[in-house]
Amino acid sequence: MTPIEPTLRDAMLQATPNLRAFAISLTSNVDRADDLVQETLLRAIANIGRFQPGTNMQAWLFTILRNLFHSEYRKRRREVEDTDGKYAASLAVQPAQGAHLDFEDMQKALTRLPHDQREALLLVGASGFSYEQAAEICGCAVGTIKSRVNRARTRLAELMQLQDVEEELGPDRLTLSVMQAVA
Amino acid sequence: LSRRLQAQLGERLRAYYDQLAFGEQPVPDRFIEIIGRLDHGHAEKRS
Repeated sequence: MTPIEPTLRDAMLQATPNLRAFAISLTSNVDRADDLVQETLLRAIANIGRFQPGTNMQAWLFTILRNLFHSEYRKRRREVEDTDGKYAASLAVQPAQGAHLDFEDMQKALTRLPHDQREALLLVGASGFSYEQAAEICGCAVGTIKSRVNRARTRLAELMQLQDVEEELGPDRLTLSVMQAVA
Repeated sequence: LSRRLQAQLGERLRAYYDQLAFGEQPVPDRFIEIIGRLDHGHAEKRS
């Protein structure tokens, strides 16, 4: 076998944290996510000859993972909402105390999004892919991704009870807190 | 959604994601071991 350039290994290592975060967010289960990432890496290595040098390793790995998720894992239909907090308890990564509520809110809200919307939002809004790259990863039109992301944002804002506040109508939160502090 | 709300959502989403991606152990040892097989020419072998 031809020796592999270290840059491929480095690119794969670099992509793995994001890949794992995507898998955890997709499956809502750390153990399943890690199995999915492991299978993705094994397949990628077995097919490393198909990887086009100079192209985006992260996008390639995400495509493999997504296809695996759809072809094998999603059939099991074990995706459930984290109503009893087991998902939070199973997370290997627990947020710092101060950020805990934000983390839990986001986690719960994401599990309540339709799968295709969650996937699109995670790719574009969290993983940093362009709409075009996300469309390629999902095998659909760019317009479809845009539509899913828009719907996901709207739904997420509803679930998290975030509301538009007209800045012009009054002081912002920082100003208010300063005013309260000095009162 | 307003741009402001979109920005707020995006910030919270990325914060959530970063905690998952770059927490205590961003790349578990078993993944490092698998990726390391690239260097050893064991790509064709699957465990």
